[in-house]
Amino acid sequence: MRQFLQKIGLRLAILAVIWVIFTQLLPKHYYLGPEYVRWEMVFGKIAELKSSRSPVNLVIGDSRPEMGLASKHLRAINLGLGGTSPVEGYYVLQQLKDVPIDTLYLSYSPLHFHGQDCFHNRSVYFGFIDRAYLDDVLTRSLQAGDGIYQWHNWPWLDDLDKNFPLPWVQRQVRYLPALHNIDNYRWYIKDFPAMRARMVDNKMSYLFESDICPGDTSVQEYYVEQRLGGFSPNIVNVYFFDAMLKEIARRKIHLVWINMPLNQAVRQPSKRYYQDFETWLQQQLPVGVPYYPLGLQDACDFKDYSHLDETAANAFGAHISQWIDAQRQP
Amino acid sequence: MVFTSFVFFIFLPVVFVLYWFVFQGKLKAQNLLLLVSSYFFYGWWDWRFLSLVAFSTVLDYTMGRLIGAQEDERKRTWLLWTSLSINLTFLGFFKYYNFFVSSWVEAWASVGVGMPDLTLQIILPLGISFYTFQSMSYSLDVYKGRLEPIRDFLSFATFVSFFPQLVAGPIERAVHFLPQVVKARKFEYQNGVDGTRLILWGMFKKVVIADNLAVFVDDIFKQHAHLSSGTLVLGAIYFTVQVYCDFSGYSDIAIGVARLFGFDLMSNFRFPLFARSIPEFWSRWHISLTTWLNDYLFTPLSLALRDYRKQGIAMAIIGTFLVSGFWHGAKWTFVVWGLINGLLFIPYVIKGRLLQRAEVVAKGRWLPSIKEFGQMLMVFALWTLTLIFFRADSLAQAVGYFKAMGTHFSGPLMFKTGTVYVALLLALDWLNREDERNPKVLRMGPRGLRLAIEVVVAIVIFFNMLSGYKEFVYFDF
Repeated sequence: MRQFLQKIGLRLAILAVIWVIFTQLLPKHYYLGPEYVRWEMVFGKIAELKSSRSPVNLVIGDSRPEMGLASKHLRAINLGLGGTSPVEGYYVLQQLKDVPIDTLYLSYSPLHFHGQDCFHNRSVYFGFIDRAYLDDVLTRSLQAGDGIYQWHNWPWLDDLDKNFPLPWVQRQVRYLPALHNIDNYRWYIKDFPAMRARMVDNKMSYLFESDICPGDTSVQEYYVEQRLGGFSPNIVNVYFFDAMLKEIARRKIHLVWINMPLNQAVRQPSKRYYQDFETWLQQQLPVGVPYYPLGLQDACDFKDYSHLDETAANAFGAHISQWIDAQRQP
Repeated sequence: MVFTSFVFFIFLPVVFVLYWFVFQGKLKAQNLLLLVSSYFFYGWWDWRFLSLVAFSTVLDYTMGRLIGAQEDERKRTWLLWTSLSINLTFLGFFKYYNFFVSSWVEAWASVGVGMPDLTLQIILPLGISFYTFQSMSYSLDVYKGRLEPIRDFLSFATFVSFFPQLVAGPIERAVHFLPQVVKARKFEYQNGVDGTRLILWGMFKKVVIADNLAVFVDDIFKQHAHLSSGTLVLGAIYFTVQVYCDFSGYSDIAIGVARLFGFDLMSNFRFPLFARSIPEFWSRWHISLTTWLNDYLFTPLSLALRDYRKQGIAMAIIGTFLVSGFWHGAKWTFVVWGLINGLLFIPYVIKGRLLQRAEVVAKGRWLPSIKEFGQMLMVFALWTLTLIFFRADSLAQAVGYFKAMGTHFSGPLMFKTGTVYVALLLALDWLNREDERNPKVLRMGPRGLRLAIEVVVAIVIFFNMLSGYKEFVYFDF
């Protein structure tokens, strides 16, 4: 028995060492992939901006402005993050509480008022939202009887993060499930430098390269908004959106609301949903805020079912710039 | 609980430590631990269905005692039939009730007569076909006089519910397994090492090969109407390898785990993809079910039909395969699958070459001869075609699949990466082919190399486990 246990023990020890090497010493972008790298760059930019005392223009929102709004046309830095909602938006604003923001271009898809799909597996999992803020979100969600933010893929990880005192062990367990994506290292070595250069050139907009028109593939794509009936915002999202608006008013930031264009192919079946959304949104926004309404755009302008491609993103950025100028004319 | 879940990796060491360190040398305590662990293992899925396992245990234990004590042959037969009837009624209700009711309604509807739909919301209890057949074998063996009825209820309950093979086999025979339960067990180093290697190899087949191929298979079968014939052929081949790795992987893990506790389970697969004839294939595939059906169904049937000579044997074979198909599931696709497999035996009945042993293919050689290769290819192709019925959700889907294969002529355009898994499995299985219970790929070369291979295989399994669990195909049966 002793010999057997020694044999098993040796193998487990080797596996444990490999595990520690992987999770502790390997850079996270080798296995957390391109989405993590985008977040890392955005939070790097936020850290850089913290020391800025000259006014800046910012874009905050989800993946649709992140990819579909070429912010260089607005002389704004694009801090859009895929899958985020006003919960993360408010966090970003708080991180930049001492930075003078001149104009803030805000844009979230209706879906990100409706629910959350990436709060736990990106914002929290990637480690960009701090523990106190996470607790605040979860407490508010619990108090409000909301189930959407309570739901979690890995509740045991959350418990471990909260209760286990050794941070380096937390990290082992936290990133263990991501290790099977280790082949991302090839992407990081081969493609990331170009991605970083493009983002820097485009004031942090993460633009999709333009392609030939993908034909009717956009029409075929499954799209979650088609399945929804009427629009009804999530209580936690509304709370943080309201907090954002108050913060913006307090800091006298010029707010511009932009609804990103919808793919013509996907909007039709759920018209009521979008009408409800716009009605609700206009009731929330302060009077006088420039408001760019929801519109439709040809499926050929999209790289996938909901994100504009590079050409369309540049055209849209230029168009918004002209629209702002027109708004400002007396 | 399933073998490829993380909770099993906590469960197994805990039971192992208690078994060998706390209860070492105490047979009753060890058996009680195995019984409790087995019920916990099963109850992890749904504790309510533990009552069925318990009922089956009590029924066959009691019937075994009664049959053993009874000397009147008529009464013994009556007791046996009572036992079988109750077992099969339970199995029939949970597994086949809805099938019969809906088939009845559909049959009447086809001639324009409306019948009330009396189907029920029934959950199929995990492994019911496996443990029912296992416990039935006990009553049958006692009746046939192959086994003395056991007095110790705890040992019998351990035999019925032994967790490594409770939900998906191998279907153990009382005559083989019960003597092991009542005998004191000692840990043997080589058994532990071989068992652990077999677990590793089974995991590799299930998690790395079967689960990755399952993704292609699901897509190809779902979209078969729009795919080229080449892609559909690939889909069928992928499924052949998937179902083999899925089920034989489970069996390997079960046999390996049982070895860790000092038990020897029967082999369930003996490299069936290298079979050179249909009878040889069936002596290599799902051996525990095939031999069960052979002993308790085919043999009595062929004896009853012996006056009809070869026709009688052919009828007994087709009848046995129809039952085998139906055992797999309450769907017409399985019945057709069983029927085709029975029909494939007919040429061998005519030639009188029914018995073909599963000898090592190309023993002592690196490669098979051209003749052997051709034979293996033919059996593989036939088996792959029959499995389209096995995999299809309905007869219409199976027919549609064949139709698309015969009309959309073109090479494989998509899903080609699955061939890597097929090639990998066939190459590794070819290396292993001399001993299904001791995979050669994990014991090749010097010590350092073996260690490296084991660690790499464990890491590959682990990464694949992280990317999501897929249920074992045979859990549905």
